[in-house]
Amino acid sequence: MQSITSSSFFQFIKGSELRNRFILYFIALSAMPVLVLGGVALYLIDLSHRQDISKLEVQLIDQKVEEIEKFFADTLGILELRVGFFQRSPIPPESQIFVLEGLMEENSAFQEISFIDVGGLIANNIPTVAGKEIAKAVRAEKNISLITDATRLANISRLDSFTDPARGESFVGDVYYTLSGPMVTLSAPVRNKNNDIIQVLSAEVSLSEIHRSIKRARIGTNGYVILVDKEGAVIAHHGRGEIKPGTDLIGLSRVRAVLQGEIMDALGDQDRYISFFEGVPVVGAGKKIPKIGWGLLVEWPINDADAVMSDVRNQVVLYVLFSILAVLVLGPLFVFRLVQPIRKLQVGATEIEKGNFEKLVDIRTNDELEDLGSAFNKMAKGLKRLKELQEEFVFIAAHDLRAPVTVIKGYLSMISEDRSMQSFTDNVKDYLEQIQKANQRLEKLVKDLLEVARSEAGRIVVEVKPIDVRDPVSESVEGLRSLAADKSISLKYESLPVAELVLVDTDRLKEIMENLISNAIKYSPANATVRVFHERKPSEIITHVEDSGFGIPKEKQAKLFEKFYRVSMKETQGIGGTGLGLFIVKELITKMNGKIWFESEYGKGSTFSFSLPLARQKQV
Amino acid sequence: MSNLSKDLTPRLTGVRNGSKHAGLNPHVCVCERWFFDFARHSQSWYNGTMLKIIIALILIFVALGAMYRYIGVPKIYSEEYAELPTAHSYGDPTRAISEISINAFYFVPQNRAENIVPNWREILENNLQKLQEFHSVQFLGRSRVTYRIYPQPIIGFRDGILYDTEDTGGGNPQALRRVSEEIEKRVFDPKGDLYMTDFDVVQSGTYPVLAIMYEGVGSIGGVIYESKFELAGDIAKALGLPDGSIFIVNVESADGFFLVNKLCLEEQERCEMGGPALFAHEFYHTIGISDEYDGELQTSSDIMGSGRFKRLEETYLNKKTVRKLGL
Repeated sequence: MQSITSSSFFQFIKGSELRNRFILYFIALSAMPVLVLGGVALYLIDLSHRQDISKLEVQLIDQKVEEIEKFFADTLGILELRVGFFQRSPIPPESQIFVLEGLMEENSAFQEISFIDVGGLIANNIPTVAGKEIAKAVRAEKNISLITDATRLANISRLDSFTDPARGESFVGDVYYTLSGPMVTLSAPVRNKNNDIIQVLSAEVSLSEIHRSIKRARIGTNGYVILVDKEGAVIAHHGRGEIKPGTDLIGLSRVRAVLQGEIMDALGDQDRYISFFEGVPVVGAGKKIPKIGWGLLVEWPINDADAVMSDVRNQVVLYVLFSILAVLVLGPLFVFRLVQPIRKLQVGATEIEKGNFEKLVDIRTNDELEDLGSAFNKMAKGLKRLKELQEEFVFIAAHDLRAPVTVIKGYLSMISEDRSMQSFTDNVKDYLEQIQKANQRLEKLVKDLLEVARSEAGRIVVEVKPIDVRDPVSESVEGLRSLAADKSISLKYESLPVAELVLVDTDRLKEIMENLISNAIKYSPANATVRVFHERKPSEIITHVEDSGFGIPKEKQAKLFEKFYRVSMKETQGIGGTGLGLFIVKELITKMNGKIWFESEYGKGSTFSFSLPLARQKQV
Repeated sequence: MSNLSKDLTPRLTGVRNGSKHAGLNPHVCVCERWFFDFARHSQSWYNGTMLKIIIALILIFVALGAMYRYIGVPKIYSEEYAELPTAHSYGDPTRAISEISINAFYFVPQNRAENIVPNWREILENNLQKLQEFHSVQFLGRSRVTYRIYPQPIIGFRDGILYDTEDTGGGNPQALRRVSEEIEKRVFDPKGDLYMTDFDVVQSGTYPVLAIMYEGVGSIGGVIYESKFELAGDIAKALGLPDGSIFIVNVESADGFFLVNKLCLEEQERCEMGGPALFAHEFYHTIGISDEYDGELQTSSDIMGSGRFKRLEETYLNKKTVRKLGL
């Protein structure tokens, strides 16, 4: 069963270190700026948005303040009559009726309006009584009734609505709440042409016009205005139905603050709160109307006011997410373009390490990487040429060395066969023996070098024919038995019970066995065991050379079949060798359509095995 | 199989065999292998750039979340609301009037039974409804009036003169005293001939008021106090009120009572004052508000002053009065 981590998906996700690094840089370079810029943009937009909201709310408040002040200015302006005569006497009664009718018809806000005498004047030769109502017009539903009957008129001399205008000041009373709606008492002095106060005109004024104006006021889709009197009671409000005119809101901190003159501009921290009216978060502003002491508050539900901000915030988040997604999806594609040439160079370098100089890297990126690929190919060609020169040198050197080595060997043979040899002293005999051994090693080196040179030149000749595998193996074992005996090593050959014909070059097989067995003896301590045995497979014979020698550490096993490679460890110090034997063995076995491998454990020994094709199988 | 093969094979299958020997489920072993395999390979993630990518992504998402949560997101405050004092009877914070329940009656002296009009209930209810609305506006929603009307006219045991007496001045206080005492005995006393169990129930926490539409003359209202004194003069003296303003009544079913003659409620134009404004005027005496006939408000539109002459829609309770009611 395939493991999770070896699945292609896992491997794709895991990716390469370079790819991941590039993706990391891409994320840092793309997502981070978007995030930072998004945050800054969001902050600035929010700042600007808050100021816009503030402007809109303050603008609406100012507009309403202006409307309310205009209402009072206009209404008081109507009451501030100036008659067209100079005498210091009240308006004649019939004119008063006419004026009252006119005023009631002119301004529907007047619910009741009356002329009041000021004291100290003479009317019809009778001194006027201060505060005495003289004539009154009353609006009852759609009708206007005029009252001149003294018994139905009152004396209001003690009310501020008389005393203030009598002193020359217009009067605006407190708002009072009736079933008809909020009302207010307004009064003003009536003057003659000399600017003398000759009467007072007092009116009960309905605030329904202001009420309608406040009800009409809108900010955004759901924003609304609340108007409170100087006691904190609602005069008009557009919002939750159950809050009626007159409802006391002085308990609300914002209402108190506004009536105390604090200006709230929707920019303060506390200007976003849960509305008492709507029960939803709102952004609010408020201001006191200076001349009459009322308060105006504007509340704008945040879900409406900040709808734009929510959109912007969502968009920024989406942009960041999209950029991250884009980096994660497109990053590997871009990185692949960068990493692929590097991978090709890596593969090329690996091939060169294996000695394959023919495989060139093909990089077409039209940039520095392509230049690097070209340089790499040139380097490969240079190395190939260097190798050829090296091989040529080795071949020439080995070839040229073979003749003098043969000559030396011949003369040494002649010396050893000469009778006069017996007359040599022991020292001379010893010297000659050392020379002979050195010459043998030299001869083997030359032979190996020539073999390697032939191999690399493809000139190794192998002549295979069906042969009983037991014969050459047995001969090789017997030939090396004395060498094994020198080290007290037990060399065993477990032959096959029946003849098995393999397709092999006899001399080459002997060479292979001699190499493997001599290596086993060489790299085993005294009293070790070397065992040679075969394994019969359906189409091949496997021959194992097993020793209980030093073994090879894992990390040094990879290059064992490379030429000139020798395992360096303390146990093998002082053991001579060229490092060419196993290379040649592998070349020869490969030439004979076989395979070679080994298993080794440091401190326990090694087993070298090679397979050779069965002859009868081949014949079939 | 050769000896060598035997030697090598267990290295490949040793784990599986070992697990079998240990009695473990082979699938569990595979899962374990997956886990350890995954852990071994994924360890290279943690140690490599992939770990940095994961950390970078986590940081980005955290920053994104923080940005989404905090930047441009307003902090919402709760608006401070100061609890307002409870509405109470005039100048007496100990008597709450947040809920006022009116028991309304149409009282007819025996000799005036023929004057009973079939729409008496409609007249009474109309005035009560307008009073409800007016009261709600004047009390800024902080006091509520509820009412119930006794289902039938109460025919008095006596003739009108015996309720009114010969002196009906001052709004006919004797009629109010006698009529209310008779209602108390006949309606609220379980032994009374008009006793109704349901009608007797007074909800706790309410301020009970007796409203009487009277088939006679007079309009008057007042507060009912318990007193340790037995004489009206002593009580008036103790309260600092004029002698004629205190009457001894034996009424326990209400804390205030008022009487308005039916004629003024029925045909306002036949009264000098009348209708719902008069009804409301007398009602406000039941919570202790005095007349403003002589005060500075006498000529304003205040319901306790000249407002009683007006339509109820045009009158109000002035600010000075409502402040003494806890508003």
